[in-house]
Amino acid sequence: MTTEDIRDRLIEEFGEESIFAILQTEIEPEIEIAAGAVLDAAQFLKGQGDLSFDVLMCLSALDVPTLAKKPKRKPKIDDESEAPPQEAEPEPEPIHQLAVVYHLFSVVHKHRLALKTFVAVDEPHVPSVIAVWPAADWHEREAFDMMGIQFDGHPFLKRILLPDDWEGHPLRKDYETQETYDVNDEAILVPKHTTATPEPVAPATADE
Amino acid sequence: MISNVTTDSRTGLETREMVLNMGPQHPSTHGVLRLEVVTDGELVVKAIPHIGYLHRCFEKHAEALSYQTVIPYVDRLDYLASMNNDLGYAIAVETLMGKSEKTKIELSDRVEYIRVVVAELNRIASHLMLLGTFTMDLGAITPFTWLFRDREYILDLFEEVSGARLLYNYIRVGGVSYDFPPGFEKKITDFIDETLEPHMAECDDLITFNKIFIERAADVGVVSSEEALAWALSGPMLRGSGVGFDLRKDDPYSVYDRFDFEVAVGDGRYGPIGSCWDRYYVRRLEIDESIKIIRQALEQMPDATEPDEVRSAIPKTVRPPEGEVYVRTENPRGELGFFVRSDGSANPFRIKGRSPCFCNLSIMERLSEGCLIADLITILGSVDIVLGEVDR
Amino acid sequence: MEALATLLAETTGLTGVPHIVWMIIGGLTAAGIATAVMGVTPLLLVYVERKVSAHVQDRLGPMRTGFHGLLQTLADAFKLLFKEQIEPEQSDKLLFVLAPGVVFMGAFAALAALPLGMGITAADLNVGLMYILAMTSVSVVGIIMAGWASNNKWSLLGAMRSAAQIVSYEVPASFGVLTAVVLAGSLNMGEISAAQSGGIWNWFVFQSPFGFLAFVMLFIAGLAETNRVPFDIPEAESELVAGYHTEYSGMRFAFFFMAEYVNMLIVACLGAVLFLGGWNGVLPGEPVFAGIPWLLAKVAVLMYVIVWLRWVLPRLRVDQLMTVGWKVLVPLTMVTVLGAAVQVLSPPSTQIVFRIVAWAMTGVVVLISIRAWRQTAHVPIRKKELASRAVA
Repeated sequence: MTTEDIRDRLIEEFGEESIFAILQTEIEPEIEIAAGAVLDAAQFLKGQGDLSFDVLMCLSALDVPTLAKKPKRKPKIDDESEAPPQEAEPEPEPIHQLAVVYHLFSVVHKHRLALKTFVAVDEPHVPSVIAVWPAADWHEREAFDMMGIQFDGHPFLKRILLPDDWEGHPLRKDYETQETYDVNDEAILVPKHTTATPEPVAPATADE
Repeated sequence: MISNVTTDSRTGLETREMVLNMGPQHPSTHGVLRLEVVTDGELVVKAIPHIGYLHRCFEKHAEALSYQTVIPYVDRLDYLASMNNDLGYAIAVETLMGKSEKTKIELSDRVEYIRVVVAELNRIASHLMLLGTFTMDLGAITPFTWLFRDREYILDLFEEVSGARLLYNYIRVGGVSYDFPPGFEKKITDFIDETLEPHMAECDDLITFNKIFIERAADVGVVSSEEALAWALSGPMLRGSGVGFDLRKDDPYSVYDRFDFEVAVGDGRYGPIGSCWDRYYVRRLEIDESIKIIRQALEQMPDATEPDEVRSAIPKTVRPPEGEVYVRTENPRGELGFFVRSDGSANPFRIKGRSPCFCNLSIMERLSEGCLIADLITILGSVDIVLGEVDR
Repeated sequence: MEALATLLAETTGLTGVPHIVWMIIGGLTAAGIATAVMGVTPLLLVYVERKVSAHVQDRLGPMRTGFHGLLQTLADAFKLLFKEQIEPEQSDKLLFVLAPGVVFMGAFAALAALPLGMGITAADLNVGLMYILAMTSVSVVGIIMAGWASNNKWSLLGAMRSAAQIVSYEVPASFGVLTAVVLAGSLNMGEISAAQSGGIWNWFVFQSPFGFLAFVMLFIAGLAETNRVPFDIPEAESELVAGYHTEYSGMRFAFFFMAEYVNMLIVACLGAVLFLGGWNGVLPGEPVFAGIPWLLAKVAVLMYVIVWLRWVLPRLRVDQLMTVGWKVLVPLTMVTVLGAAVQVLSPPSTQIVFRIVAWAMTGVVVLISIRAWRQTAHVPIRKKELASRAVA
């Protein structure tokens, strides 16, 4: 299935408030979705028989400091004559955003998909997809560690590559390395790690 | 500390779980990995891997370099399979550049075949290393020296073609750095015919079908195929569980679609499918398949039509169009993916290396529940981790 | 020792000296010889081990110290003597210091009852076999002391494993020994050897198929008693660094070392005396030099096999080890004891059948061993490859 078809399926299910346009169609098409819809969309993409994206190939975090905010989508109006007069759109202000890109693959149908979601840098909350693909466990921890994105619902969101008491998130463009590093013994703790594998979504069969 | 005290109901004896630390320095963690092992005597309750001891901020460095100069850093990700890393990265950048007519790169056939030959040789060297260290972890010390002896020949060949034994900086964006020296193809075929194949037969005699080895490895660390896909395992970890997915066949890149080779899949002949022995055997068979590919590539490789042909397509500055791609290739350890985002300048905006070992190691905690400490070593060995890749 | 005492009294011709003085002098001489054996055997064995491992692994081994490295172990011994003996700060000091002594003592005391030749035994006890088995078990206490006192969880694990292993394998070892006792009719080592006199066809391995089976079982159980591969899980380097003697250095480590090699010597000696004819030669008649060269030759062959096995086989996991010990060896050795009893009570006309079966079994195993040995232990360093590499 092509990315356009998949996007149509997603819009059917979730509506246009959550599923936005396809980005960079000439390079590698990515469907932009709202952060709040990530978990539901993930379950839908994995569960539906004709989609069945059972492998999360990669979960990358991006820091896009100068991205201009997208204008809000206007609702469809049936009768043009009733449309209010178009006002000149003000220049969109650049805001600092973080992005998460999911690259999915289906072994059954051999098609790939890229999903992208943007969050504001001061409130970077994205639902965790660990319940759908356990592979997301460490990827999300790394995205949290390096970029500071909070994945809601992740059972053990702690730093993975850096020491537990490191300050700051290095891959952000405005990161400044700390001048000194003082070991903070209380921060480096070994908490009791509960089992981190929630129930996975049942895999779809190809003939559904 | 995690130590549960339980009281045995029959005898009233208190038993306590023991927390052991394997690593970061330990003979068999294959690098600086720390496994926090909670055991109940000899039985492992949970083994939690802690990584990050070899984190060298590759991704942050890459943002300050130019695309070609990232290549030595990419070498050092999976330092046992540098050619494959280089290849993956070069193909990712070339794919991104190919999206715009202005920056498209046309690679000559000779370059493609050279890349395939060195990548497959490096795959053989990497698998020899794994077969040796895996069996050494299980106590058979001799296959380690035999297989390393053969790996030394490959490293000599690489030294001849690129100047370095382990970290080559050989495959560049748009070509390779040096052509094969005269007589090199014959050296490779001589090595394969006279040294590698007879030695692999010896190694099979000694260890691959040894009863003790099979008993140690064939019931242990079983990963089902659904789990393998859910945890995004790749490479021999995935194929050992019965899923016959190999990027060289199913999503071919470079000139891999011109070769005739099989995909080695675990068949569970000595135990459940997806055991450590299956993964070991998949890697053993992959050496044979790589030999086939090398032979075909050397036969099909065209001669150089002009001097310095291998460098002629390398652009002066690598400046991909704005955009982001995710391109994946088959590393000896699995699916190596590069997520490259360019903002139109000569420095990458963001490079994320999706290393196969990072994903393969994440299943370690699940696999370790309920095994014995000796099994823990076996499982860890069969995952075939290289910490440079896990931590980047 | 009586013989030695009377020998001393007669040669010096001094009368009036109480017999007890000769006994004491005789005892001290024997102890001196035993100490010399304790000291020299590891030196020889370590050299043999290093050379055998090198030849199996296609390399040369020590070559520089002395002619072909003969002085290497002497150099290592000097180094160990002068090394600093470190005690971990929180270790149990008394037990830590005593443990090597206890382990050493177990091996040392067992040397007393081992025969060297016809009539040459330090203590020709009527229950010599019981004494040897009992003394080798004393080492277990020392191992547990070492593991506990080291204040190191890995050492503790190694010590526990070792204790379980040694105690478990005492049972099949004892039954194997019992088979020889049944065939010979005495617990005295001298009399068991004498029962095998009269040529190679009278050795117990060739006299009785149960003797042959018991020999194999005793050999395997002996490997387990001395913590050698494939049963070296207590000292598995890849898992426990070095097991129960991780924290020891210097002379204390040398004590463990010596005890292990002398245990190997004891096992080999037991096997040779009980089943391979002791000091008897191949041809019937009185053996030359009281049979010392014959016994030494047989012991040497068995030790070589023990050393060779270490480099060829992987190690068993602890539960597999226990399974082999309790579920395989114990029933089989019980069968051999019963079978030997049946054979002894059978009429003489049926003995020839037993002998033919024994010859057949021994022959098959010897042929298989020779084939395996040729494949593994004598890997020649390929001159052609060396030559071709020199050209490149």
